Amino acid sequence: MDILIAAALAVLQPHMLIIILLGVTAGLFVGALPGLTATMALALMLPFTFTLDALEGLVALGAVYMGTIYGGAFTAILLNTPGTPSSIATTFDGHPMAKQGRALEAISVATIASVVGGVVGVTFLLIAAPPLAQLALKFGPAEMFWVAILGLTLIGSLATGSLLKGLLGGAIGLLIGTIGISPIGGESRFTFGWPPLQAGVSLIVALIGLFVIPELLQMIRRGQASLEPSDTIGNTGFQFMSALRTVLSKPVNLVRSCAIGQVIAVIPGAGGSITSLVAYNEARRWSKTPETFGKGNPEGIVASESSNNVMVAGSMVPLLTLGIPGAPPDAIILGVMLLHGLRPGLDLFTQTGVLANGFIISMGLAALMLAPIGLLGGRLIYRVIIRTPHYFLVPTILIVTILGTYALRNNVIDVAIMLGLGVVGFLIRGLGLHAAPIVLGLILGTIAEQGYVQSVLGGMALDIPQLRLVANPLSQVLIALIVLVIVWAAWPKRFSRKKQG
Amino acid sequence: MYIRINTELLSGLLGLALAAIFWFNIGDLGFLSAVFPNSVLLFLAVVSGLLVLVGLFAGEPVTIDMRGVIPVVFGIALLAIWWLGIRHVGFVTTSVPLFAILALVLKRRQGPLSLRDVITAVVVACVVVGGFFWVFSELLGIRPFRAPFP
Repeated sequence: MDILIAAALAVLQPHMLIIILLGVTAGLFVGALPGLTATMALALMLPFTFTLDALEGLVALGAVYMGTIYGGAFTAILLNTPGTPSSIATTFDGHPMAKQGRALEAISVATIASVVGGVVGVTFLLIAAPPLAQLALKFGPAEMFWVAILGLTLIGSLATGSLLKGLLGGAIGLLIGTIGISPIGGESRFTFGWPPLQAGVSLIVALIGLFVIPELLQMIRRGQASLEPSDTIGNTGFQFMSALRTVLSKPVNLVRSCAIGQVIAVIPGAGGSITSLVAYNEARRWSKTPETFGKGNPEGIVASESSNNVMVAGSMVPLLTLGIPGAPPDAIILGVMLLHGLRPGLDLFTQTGVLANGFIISMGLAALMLAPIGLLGGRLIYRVIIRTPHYFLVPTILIVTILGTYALRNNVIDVAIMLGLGVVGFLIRGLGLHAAPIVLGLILGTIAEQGYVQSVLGGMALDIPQLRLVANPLSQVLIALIVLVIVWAAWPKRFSRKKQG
Repeated sequence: MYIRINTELLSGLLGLALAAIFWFNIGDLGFLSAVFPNSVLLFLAVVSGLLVLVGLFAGEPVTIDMRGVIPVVFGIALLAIWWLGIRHVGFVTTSVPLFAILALVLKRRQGPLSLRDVITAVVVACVVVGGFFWVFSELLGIRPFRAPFP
């Protein structure tokens, strides 16, 4: 309790509140611009955190993350274009409401749902993370290996639509992760005679390259000059109290959506788009008036926005306890933690408890700040977004991305690797290979390798040393889960084909 | 313009090619360094092989929209030229043309360019690139890219 109070006092300092305010505002703007994802927002903000200490940096990124996910709702409602993938489901009812002249009502509902979702996610993280970190101590090398493989299997089956392509992406990520000095053997691997590769491919460099550059190239390909303004924003003003009544009038929908968001958030790599789509689908399925969904039902917005904002803090559960990012933006936060010498796990909560809990509490404050910033600055944000010319936006993001990548290690080679991976990421998108499994493979590569090699070393007395990987009951449970995921991913296709046949 | 490609087959072939490239460059590693990459390569080869089989026997060609590819190729070429120039010239002197040309390529897709568009692009490029250069070098203490010129 003392740690929690100390953490709360640390983030309630005036300069911390200003950091949170600026972070949420910046995230809101980036999130509201279609094509700019939360990962991109965090990558762009990363260099600006270098002069901050560990807590300030994490607080800033947490606030940007929260603001970005909420910001996606603005263009989803006003322009039928989700600002971030996690706002896809918000378009279903948000834009019909805007077309009925209820845009500001829809934004008000989205704002309150986002605040509730954000606070719920933070509360869960605050309560669940320390005991889960304690539980993580039971995970030995073999279990950590299987957790990594489970994460890859999940993202392969959930995030890409093709299990084999997802696994291929994950394997490519694992392979990229083996470039450089071996963490256990200490030998140089896969440098192709190029000494700079001995340092390996930096996770954040790969993350920026694979997530930001393909989006920029996609924006160049689309060639959109600016967004089409909406003349249906409505003049009724923001309706805080009526929106609050709307959100709270269907408590089951709100609780169910938050619960769905929380459950999906802890699955590594699942992401906000899946969360909001599942929550929206369930809201419609359980509604007494499902026919009103898609025609301007605020319940749809509540489901989508509350669930995707739960995910922001919820996805940090595996990150802070096991070091496995729940969503791609979390990987950047992991990178910042490692830069400051912080290791996820129980030590994070015991030895640096003020920092860990302060970071979590700051996300709650960021969620609360969504309401005043979103409701008071909504019209201004809308005007700025509409007037931002894309032909200046793309090169501006490119310049910040290049500088940000260089600033990581003052290394010009990192910029080349980032741009190269970005171009490759753009090209393989056409083949249906997504960046998320590749990045997750890269993230989990070190965990998987250490678990694998240590287990094999422990099993050298056996005829087949790899059998050590399957010896423990916890490993067997994880293997069963992996098999279940693979069967589950393959089953619907067979079933539908059979039905079609 | 649209093209139709068998994405399963091509993904599988890409995976096999990657596995081969890494396999032939693994060198003479000890057990501790080689055991994990060898397993990953084997897994990559198996998954890629399965994708090739799926592509050959059950793959359905996917239609890819090729519109807007030329500006993308131009953008990538521009980045390559920028990369070659940056170490010999400097960040601001290479990035201002990169910014302005990229902005004009995008603006050009909306209609013919006027002299005003060009001047605006150059001015905005100078302000944005110069501004970020100042922020990074003066505020954040990071001197972007050592080169003869800024």
